[in-house]
Amino acid sequence: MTKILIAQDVSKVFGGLTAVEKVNISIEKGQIAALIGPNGAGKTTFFNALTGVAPATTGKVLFNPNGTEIDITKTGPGKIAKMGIVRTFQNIRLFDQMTVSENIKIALTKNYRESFLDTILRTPKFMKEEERVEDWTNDFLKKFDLYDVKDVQATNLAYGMQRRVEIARAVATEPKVIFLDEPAAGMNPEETNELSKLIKRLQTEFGLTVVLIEHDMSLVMNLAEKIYVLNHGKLIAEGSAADIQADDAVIEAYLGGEHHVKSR
Amino acid sequence: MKNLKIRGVWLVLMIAGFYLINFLVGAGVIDSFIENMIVTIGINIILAVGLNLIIGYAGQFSLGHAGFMAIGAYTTAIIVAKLPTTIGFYVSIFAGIAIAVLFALIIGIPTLRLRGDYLAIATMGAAEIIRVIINNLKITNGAAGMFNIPNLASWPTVYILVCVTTIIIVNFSRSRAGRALQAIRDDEIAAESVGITPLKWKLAAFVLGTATASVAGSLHAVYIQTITPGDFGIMSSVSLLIIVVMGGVGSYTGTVVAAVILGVLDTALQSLGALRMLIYAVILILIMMFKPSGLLGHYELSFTKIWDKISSRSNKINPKGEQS
Repeated sequence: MTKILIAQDVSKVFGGLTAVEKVNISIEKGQIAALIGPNGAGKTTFFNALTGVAPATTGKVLFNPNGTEIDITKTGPGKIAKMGIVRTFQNIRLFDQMTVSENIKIALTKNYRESFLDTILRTPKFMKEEERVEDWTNDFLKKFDLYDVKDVQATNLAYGMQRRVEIARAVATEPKVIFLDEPAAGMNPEETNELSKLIKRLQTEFGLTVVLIEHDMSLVMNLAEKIYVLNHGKLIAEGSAADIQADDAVIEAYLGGEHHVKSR
Repeated sequence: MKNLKIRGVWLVLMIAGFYLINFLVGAGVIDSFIENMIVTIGINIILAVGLNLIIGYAGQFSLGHAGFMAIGAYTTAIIVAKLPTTIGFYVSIFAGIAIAVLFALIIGIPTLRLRGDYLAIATMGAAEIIRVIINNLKITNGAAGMFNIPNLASWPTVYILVCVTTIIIVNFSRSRAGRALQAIRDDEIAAESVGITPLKWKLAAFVLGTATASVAGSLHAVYIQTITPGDFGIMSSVSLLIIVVMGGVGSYTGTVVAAVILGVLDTALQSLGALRMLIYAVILILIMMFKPSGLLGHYELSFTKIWDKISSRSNKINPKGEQS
């Protein structure tokens, strides 16, 4: 198995606070990996370092989409997105004033083949491109069960639907790796169940490598083939769901240490 | 098919408008006083529509639009002084656009990274720089300005260029470019995360908006026939901003309506002199109090929507009828 994304000794320092300290992970192509840890463990900060939103202070991030490793430590989020790493956000970031269909089309901006002149002169080529994108978008929305709401303004959708649109929009950029930052937050069990199926489909149907941050342990244990546990900015454990459930350091991080219990 | 028909409606409207003015001029209803008003309104429409692209769609608060108008005006004045023909005038329009685009790139690349108030100050400064340069060059005749510019354009030229620039900007806004700009305006981080380069699209909008401002400047020069650096100061930028804000930020229909209303008011109230400014101020305050999104808000006149409404209604009346 090839490693598609590698973080080497990644640290992120804010002033005097080390939010992430020398974290090493390597994610295999086509895998669903999860990053868990108590609140404030540095998960989102680590995500931001990997996706270029807030680059790492020290350490290296390597991306290997097709055989050659590229150093993306200092690459901006726009470029990283174009290279094939996309993300969703903890607090959903849709283009609220636009319809679901338009939200997807935004992600296709770079795929248009029309030129500036085609645009302003409304040439047949422009019309053909618009039609092509329209058809593509409709087919794509059907795959995500969003076709019925395609003309609804994003802000008017239910929470679970908004999350689905955000994931669809990220997938529409045709990425290699997708990062999901707490996708199940605020969802009811039924919605979580739907989401879990969707994430599985991202792997099987779209061939994506999925990395997720999640607090919902049933979702993580069901889906993730590899789990990384962060606590206080440090990686304290990694392995399969069974390994993690039996790991002393993880239990200590979540439930408190042995001596802590004894002192009571 | 529907698209073609709707484009046909627009084309017919534009031609009809042209012949209506032509007829009224011929019949003597439109005298030179009113013609002057129409041309001024036309030039303001070109300027304000371009500014609305920058402010309304790209969300970039620019206060330097008059500076780019000055570039067009002076380029034309200098070229037609040497080449006082219609061809000379059209050459000067393109020369003006080229210079304005160059300036827009030089100013835009560093400043479009700024946001809100900072960008407003930066663009205002840029326009001042343009004005000060013009004020101190020999070729532009310094503070005295340029006069006796040959009259190479009357209302038909202005009318046609209003149509052309508006079509270009509206088409640009109703494409992937417009969608990308709206996405950047709504949430820059999210836009970047789906592979949009904000600076590239903002720059495209800024360059296009300033290019049309330059065209308006060229028309201004040959119609008014006298230009001075003082014509393109901060107050001209502000009065364009007023048109955009009054019509509705992000609504081109609103911009055109506001430009016409203000133009007519300006002419009708000419006898009041400086008191006019007070009336504008009161109107603007009233609009901000009762309709802060501008006269038309986000509304756009769209024959596609009207078409859909009519066809859905006729389907209801005659449910078995064929869809057109």
